[in-house]
Amino acid sequence: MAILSIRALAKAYGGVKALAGVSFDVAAGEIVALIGPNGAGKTTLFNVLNGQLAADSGEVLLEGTSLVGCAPHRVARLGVGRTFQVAATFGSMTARENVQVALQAIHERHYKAETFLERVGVTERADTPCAAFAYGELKRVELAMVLAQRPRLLLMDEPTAGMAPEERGALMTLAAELARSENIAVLFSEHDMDVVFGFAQRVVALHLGEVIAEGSPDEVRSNPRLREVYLGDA
Amino acid sequence: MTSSAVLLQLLNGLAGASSLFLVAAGLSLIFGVSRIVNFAHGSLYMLGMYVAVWLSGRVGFWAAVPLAALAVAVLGACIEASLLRRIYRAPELLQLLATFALVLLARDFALWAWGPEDLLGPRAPGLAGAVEIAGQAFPQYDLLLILAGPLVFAVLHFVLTRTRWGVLVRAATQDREMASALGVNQRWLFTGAFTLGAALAGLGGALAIPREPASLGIDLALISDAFVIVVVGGLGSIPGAFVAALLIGVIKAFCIGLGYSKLTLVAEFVVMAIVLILRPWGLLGRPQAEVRGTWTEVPIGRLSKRGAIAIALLALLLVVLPSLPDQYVLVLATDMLVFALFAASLHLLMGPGGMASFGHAAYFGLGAYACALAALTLHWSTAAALFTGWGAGALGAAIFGWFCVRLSGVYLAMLTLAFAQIVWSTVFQWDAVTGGSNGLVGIWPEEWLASRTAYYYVVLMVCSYAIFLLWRMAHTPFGYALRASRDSPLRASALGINVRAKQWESFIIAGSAAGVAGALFAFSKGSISPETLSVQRSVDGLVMVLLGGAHTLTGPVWGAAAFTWLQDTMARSVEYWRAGIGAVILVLVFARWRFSA
Ligand SMILES: Nc1ncnc2c1ncn2[C@@H]1O[C@H](COP(=O)(O)OP(=O)(O)O)[C@@H](O)[C@H]1O
Ligand SMILES: [Mg+2]
Repeated sequence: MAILSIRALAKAYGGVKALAGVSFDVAAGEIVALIGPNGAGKTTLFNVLNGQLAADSGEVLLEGTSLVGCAPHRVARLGVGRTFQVAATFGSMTARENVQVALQAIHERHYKAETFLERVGVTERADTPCAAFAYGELKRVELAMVLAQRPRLLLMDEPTAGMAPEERGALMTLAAELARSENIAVLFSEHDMDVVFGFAQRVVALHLGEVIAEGSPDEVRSNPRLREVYLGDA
Repeated sequence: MTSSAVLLQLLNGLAGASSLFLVAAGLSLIFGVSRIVNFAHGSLYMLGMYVAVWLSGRVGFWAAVPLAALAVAVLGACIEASLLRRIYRAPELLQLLATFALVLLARDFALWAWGPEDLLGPRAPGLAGAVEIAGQAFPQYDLLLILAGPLVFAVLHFVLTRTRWGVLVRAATQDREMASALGVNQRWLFTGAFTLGAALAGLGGALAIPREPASLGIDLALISDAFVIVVVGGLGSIPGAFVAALLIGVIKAFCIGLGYSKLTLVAEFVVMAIVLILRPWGLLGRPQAEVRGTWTEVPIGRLSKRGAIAIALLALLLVVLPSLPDQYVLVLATDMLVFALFAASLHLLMGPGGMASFGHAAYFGLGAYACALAALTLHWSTAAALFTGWGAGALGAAIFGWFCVRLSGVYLAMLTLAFAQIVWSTVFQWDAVTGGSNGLVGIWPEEWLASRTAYYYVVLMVCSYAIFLLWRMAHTPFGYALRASRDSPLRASALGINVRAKQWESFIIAGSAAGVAGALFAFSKGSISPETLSVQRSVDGLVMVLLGGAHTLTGPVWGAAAFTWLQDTMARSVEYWRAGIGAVILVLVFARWRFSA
């Protein structure tokens, strides 16, 4: 059964149709990449999925339960975690406190923050305020926060944007491993095709708010429509 | 009400709306360009009134009006060029405080120049009579006022849409970065906008003198009206200000016309509440873009060893204080403790909560009045009365906070102030219950607490325990969730934290603590007056927090002690102590901003 079902989702900003009837599914434990040029509507889709933005029409189902009208904190409590295109952490708190806040938010007492900081490899700087972190580290802390809540579905908006090329593979490997070991479904948007084809089990391509291709990485790679609008060769 | 009476009230409302519009439009204009909420805008209006009354005696009313507007405009230009220009990049709280310092300076200047009595203005020559409208007499001059609002609106609209300067102003209002990228000379733009805004306020004041006398209290009365209008109409929107001024002006006139002048405030409150629920960014405003944080994100440190020792020593000193021969020390120490709690409660909102409350005195005052009424009219025991104060503070904060957490940044600050002003006016007008401007007297604790020393110990115990609880809160899950909501609301809500609920809870906690402080205050003074919950008191709280440092836990408490002592000394020895405090605030603001920049 699909953990996430998106049905005919539409959202317009004034005249701009950011989402024009998007439908696709994400199966439990599946890693799906969302690709598309800038302005395709990826961030808008994530914002609608986690309740930050209200869609104009359409439906979002989490294991059959409608998320329409749910505030972000409710969506989060239903087991949907997300990271932001520009990593968001709590700057006045240490890395450890950041993860503790994530644990407290779901009343989790069993796990320790250290466990998750260790997994993303920021143990040494656990007691440094996040305001003093380099961007790559912030992304890791953000990942640790989200993983600490052990969501059923993880939404990652451009997880490797703003990172050095060497760091990208490492972060995604980490995220993918953790997701697999906890059986977390992941929907991530990405520009780096190496990352997409290296980690995704399935790819959904978005263009001007519409799904223009969907399938395995190989299928999508050879889809002529996609090559035309996205990969740039006619 | 007959239809002719309705018509007359409508006209009355429109006449009143004009002055409100002039002030609100200036406020909006200045905010749009510089992102500064000019607290002193009501003071510019007040100065416009005084200058116009003073000049009419010399050059006649019609010449005095434009001259007064001009004088206030020049003053505005000087203020912008000498003070505000330096703090455009400072946190908005510092900016608000700086403009509030100007309120204090203007108030004492007017007191020094024109004395404490209200100054009656002249009738407008040529328009002193009345015309007959629908069988009733209506002042000719008010017809002019009715025309003045739309006329100024039209001129402003023309300037903003048809002149190069106006187009730049609008560009800067919509997108500051873009405007500066276009090579707009910001200096000229900012000074110009402030000068024009000041001129409008001065003009509004000058035009009002045939209708009402110039008085010292008009500054804060007007600024809170203007805040309500700007919140209702939408910050930065001149058409919004126009529509909101008409709406509020007419509603006010109808309440007065129907003989329910006391209903005015309630009506204003209801209108504001409805608008905020339906359109949090105001009737014609746009949803707020990125809001700057009130404070930079700094970790809240745990108590250091040295700090703990200092506090232990202080506690010891406070316990033995009553054995000192000088009894005045006890009076001062009681005040210091009460205000330390007040400041600590405000700090919960401002520091961890990241919400600048400009109306914290409301909860203090609600606590004080509820406690006093419980003791005086219900004859409840002292303990029960103190609990009543606690509950009143919490309840007030629950109601006002529910609206406030829907906003952020300066919008929130303005709304807290507007609420506080509504409470103040209610207390001021409700003679039968609150004693009106005289307040309530004879609020004394029971027999066993009658001595200064005994009551002092109660205050010491209650305040230190409450402050301890507030401090501890910063490191509880609630405190973390609150700080998380401040640092990154998006991140916090995506983790399952109900940001608004946390902020609302913090309002209620802070309000209840302030209510306790107010209740203790009432019994320690024996009498309370509307001054207990004036804007002045709210700003005192802000200064205390700022003085001690908002990003430390203990700072606000030290700030409260120092400020209480300073104010006590100044008020007893200096005649123009308000100006003194204003100067201290300005120095502080500039020192802090330099220091942190
Ligand atoms: N807040 C907004 N207001 C107006 N238009 C927006 C807003 N956010 C996004 N858009 C528009 O919606 C479209 C999709 O944007 P976005 O979802 O950010 O795309 P992506 O993340 O794929 O780059 C773009 O055309 C963008 O300009
Ligand atoms: Mg995006």
